[in-house]
Amino acid sequence: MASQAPFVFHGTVIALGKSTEALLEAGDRTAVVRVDAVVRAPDAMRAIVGREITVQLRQPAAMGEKAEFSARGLLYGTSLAVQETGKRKAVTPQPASARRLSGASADSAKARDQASALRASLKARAAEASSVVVGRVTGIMEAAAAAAKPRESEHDPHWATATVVVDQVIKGTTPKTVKVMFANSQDVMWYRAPKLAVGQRAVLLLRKGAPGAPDKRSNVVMDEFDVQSVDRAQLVASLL
Amino acid sequence: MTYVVNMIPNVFSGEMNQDSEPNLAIDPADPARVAGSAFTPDPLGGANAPVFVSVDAGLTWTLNNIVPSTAGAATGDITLAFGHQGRLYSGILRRPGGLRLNILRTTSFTVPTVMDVLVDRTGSGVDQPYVEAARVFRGAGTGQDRVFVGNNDFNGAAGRTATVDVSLDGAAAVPPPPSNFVARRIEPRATGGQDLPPIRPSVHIDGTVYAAYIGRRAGGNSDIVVARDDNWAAGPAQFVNLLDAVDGLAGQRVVTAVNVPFENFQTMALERLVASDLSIAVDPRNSSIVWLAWGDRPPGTVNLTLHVRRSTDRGQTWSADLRTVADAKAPVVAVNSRGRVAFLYQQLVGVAPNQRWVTQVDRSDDAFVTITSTVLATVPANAPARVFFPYLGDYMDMKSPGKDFYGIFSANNTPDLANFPIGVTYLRNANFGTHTLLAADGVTPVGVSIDPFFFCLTEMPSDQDFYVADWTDSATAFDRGVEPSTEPQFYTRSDVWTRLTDAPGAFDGNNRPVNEAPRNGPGAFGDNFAFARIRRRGTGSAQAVTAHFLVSPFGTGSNYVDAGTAPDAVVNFTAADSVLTMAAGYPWHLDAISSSHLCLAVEISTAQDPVVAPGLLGRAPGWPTTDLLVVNDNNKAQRNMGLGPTTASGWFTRYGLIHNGATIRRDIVLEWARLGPSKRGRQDRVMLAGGREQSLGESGRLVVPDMSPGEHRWVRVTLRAGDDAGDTVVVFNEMVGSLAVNGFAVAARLQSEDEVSKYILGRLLSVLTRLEAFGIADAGPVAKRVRSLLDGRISGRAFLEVIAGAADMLLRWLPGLLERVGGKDTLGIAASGRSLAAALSDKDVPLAQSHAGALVESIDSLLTTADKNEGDLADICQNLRWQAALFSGRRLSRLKSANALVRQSVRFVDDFAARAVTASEYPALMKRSLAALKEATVSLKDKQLTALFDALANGLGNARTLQRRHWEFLLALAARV
Repeated sequence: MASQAPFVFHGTVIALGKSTEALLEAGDRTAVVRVDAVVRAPDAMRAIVGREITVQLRQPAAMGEKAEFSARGLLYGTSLAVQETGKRKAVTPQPASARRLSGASADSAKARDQASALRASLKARAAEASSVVVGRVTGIMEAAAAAAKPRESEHDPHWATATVVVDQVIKGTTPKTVKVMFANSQDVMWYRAPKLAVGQRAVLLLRKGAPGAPDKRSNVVMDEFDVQSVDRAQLVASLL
Repeated sequence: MTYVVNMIPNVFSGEMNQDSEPNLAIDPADPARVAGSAFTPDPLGGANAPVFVSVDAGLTWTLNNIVPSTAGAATGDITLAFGHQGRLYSGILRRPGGLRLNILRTTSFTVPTVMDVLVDRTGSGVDQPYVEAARVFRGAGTGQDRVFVGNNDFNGAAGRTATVDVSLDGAAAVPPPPSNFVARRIEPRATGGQDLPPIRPSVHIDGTVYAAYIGRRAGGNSDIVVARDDNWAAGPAQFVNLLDAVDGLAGQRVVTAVNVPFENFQTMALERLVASDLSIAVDPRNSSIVWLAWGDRPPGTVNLTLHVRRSTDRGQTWSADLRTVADAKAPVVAVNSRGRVAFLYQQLVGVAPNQRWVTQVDRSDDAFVTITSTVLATVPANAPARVFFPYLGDYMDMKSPGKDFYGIFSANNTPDLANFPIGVTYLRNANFGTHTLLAADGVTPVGVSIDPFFFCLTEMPSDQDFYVADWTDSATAFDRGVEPSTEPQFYTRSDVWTRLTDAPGAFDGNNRPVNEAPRNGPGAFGDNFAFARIRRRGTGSAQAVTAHFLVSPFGTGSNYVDAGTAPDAVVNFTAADSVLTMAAGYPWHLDAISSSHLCLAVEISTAQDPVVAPGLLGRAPGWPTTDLLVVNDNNKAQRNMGLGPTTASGWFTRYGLIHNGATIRRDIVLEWARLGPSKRGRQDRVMLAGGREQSLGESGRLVVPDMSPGEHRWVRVTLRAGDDAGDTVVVFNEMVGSLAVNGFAVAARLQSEDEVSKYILGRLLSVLTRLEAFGIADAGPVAKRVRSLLDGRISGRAFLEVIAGAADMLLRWLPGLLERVGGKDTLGIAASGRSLAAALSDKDVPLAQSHAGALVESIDSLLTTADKNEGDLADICQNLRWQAALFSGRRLSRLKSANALVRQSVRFVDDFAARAVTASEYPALMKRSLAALKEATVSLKDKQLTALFDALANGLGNARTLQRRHWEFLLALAARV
């Protein structure tokens, strides 16, 4: 449960039936919890250690209870309200440990967590890939240059086609040279999609017929995990 | 209070997102409830994206994860709009899915429950959904949410992609998609493959819906087009009510063949230009007035130039540029309840690398002849680095929830007060001394990014914004002074009332004032006292509020006159007072000859908070345009409800005067609806005078045909009593198209036989008093007998006796009275007399009460007609408005003297409204107008018209009779031009 939750933290229940967030009504299933340490959260939310937040409980809690909460976000204001998705006994409940966790240990814990998340994401994407190769980009052609676009949207992906010389096939079968399409747009809908550049060498998780792809036959990289640095080739291979 | 707020919540202080392309929605029922959006992801990386919510008018903000999206990402394009009862609608581009339109709804925007998906469409792709919503205020569909989502739908055939998705009842939309939404294509012309992204709706509560779009034509240039639908896009063809003056197709082209660049790459500093710079706003006071702003690239320029124009004829013709701003983007126009327009934009100033984005609002009351400019932010244009396009947003937003303007923009968030000339509040941690953002721990530095900023430009501080509630339901549920007010029946539960004694009386169990039927008569007997309960939206200053009272006949469309001649009442608020009820009433008198069936209105004002022009004096709500004088201005309130008693077996009769307050001949459409829990009774009927009775069902429609300007007719309503659950109440709305511009209500209350007798004898006394004033001396002794009975308990026998005597006298004089109104008994007086005679013969008191009530009311209406036939000072201004309209028309405007006549007529009306002239100056005006009227008469060579002109010219001595002769002349003139 905890491994999938976007927010995992160690906390101490300091009030039951209360809420720190004005828009979340206090009730039998709300508790105020002090964040003792953050196990998993985006960087922008990691500095809330020591703050009191509101947890919409999935299961009863006790005053003073210390636990590792898994949660998803509900409301973000002066305080934070989250919905508990899981709970287990905290492994580092003591304040001294908490301080360590929010210091150097926290960095290593964060690195471990990020590595774990990366493995999970890569595994999922690799499983969906029709082929996985290590290759080098030798040329790029903008789709606009290839064919006039009949219609124009600011969210156009600006499909471009990279010519990739394949050095190694990790999954599937491919010719020595493959054409790989990628969204070259910097628009909000596409900026997170991987971009390829001439000379770039990378692990490519290629898909065909992905939702939003220009056609069903082309090899496409669309997801941010679809292009990995070459030093992760072994990692990707191990996940297949 | 004017303020700018960085909207990023404190707990999210560590964020460095590019929160661009903001949008804003304001709950019309409570402008403190505001929702905002931007390209902001869930701070914890979850699958739902947030909206920004505020319940304190934008002072503080909370992110609420309710928009379905994909893990860790903001949604695509997103716009927001509130409907009725707090429903929030959103149009988004859904992730994952590219150009996948979703239309969403939540019934409570502060509750963290994911929004319902009402529409989910992709096909060839849909772009830039832009949502607006309005509640049907009155008439058919009252209370329904009308939702309009402009979008560029590549599924449109033949490249005609401009589209508006419409729901006529957003609350009733039930998934699965498309629920009850229908995509309406609004582009009738050939395109150069597509229309450009922005399709912007603007909705007026009278059912007028404008939609602006940029039609791209073959060759690459574009037209700026405004389409219009006059009835909520509910008809068989939609957005076809505005035809282009040149090609005759739907949608007026405001400009043609302009260069609207679509450059999806870095063009203005770090920003792109993708042809999304378009905004339209209808004036809430008058749906014929509409403002438009767009951006294009004039020849020889590099960046965009913004243009603002206005139409005052429903989009048919447009002004030249009223405001032009070079090197700017993201224009937004908004109009407040006083007609003030605000123009928001972001301008790129300076020279690279020192360019700055300046976010500015220009406000104007005179079409930008004079401007109040406010710089909200001036920030570096080259930092932070761009993460994606759009850098600041392809558009931003501003709206007016009444008098004030609320808006939202995105900008560099460096905490530097020099960047925010009118000040700024950060909810996130920041050190303004070191210009450093800090994480949630208050220590860790955070890099600069693009944040959304909310602003409020206060046009009137809350302690200066006084109002009279249009409705009250309880001590906690009442009109809070929003403009327009939110309840359709603003004339039945308002805080203006009259009493027979100089004390306001106690409020009832619903915290409503108790109105007493006024009395007419000589001396003190006809003295009445008007009251108002005055509130304000905040406290903090001592203020003196003036209350001015006006009256008009009961019904709809009649013009108001001043209630009395005494100086206006003044109510003194201390700094701490938020609500005060007038302790002493405003004395007003009803002469013996006047009917006591009246509408009562109040206009309150202070030096800082004047009544929005036009005032009610000399006018009726809704005319000459379909403005909603009372609901749009919280300084005005009106009571227009006829309440009477009846026993369980009887019924109550009331006549309403239907006056054509317009300057055109027209059918007046009345729509009725029953309110509350009372059951329909056998006697619940309605009849247009001279016509046939029809049953009053739960709702229905009555057409008063072919009425001339200033003409009046009567509608009779009979109602069975309510029960313990409440009164029987039927509201009648005067409809213009789909908008109810005015209305009245009739209510019957269950009371004891004795109380009913007292009421009817009181009404009889009023009518007898009028008859005496009309010179019918026989009424005097009967009135004396009635007066003596009213002092004590009235037995059934005594009631029958006095009614029998009164009926004899009334019917004896009936023929003579009918002579005064043309001889016809259209009110059914004789029939009431016969029915009463039968009831008297049977000694059936409840039946006799019901028929006696009908007889008394019909005689009262007859006397009002006779009185009005002598002329009516209330209609002087309507005559002059009508005259101005006639002499502005095709035939008479060619006359040499027409222009001068129109000018002096309009000027008198304006001066009358401003109380610079009175009715006593009307004869002098008409004397000055005679030459022009004679020129018209001579030109038409008509004997009857000549005779009427002579009568007018020879009747200049008395303003009242002059009004009638003037009206008769205009009536004849109108029939000939």
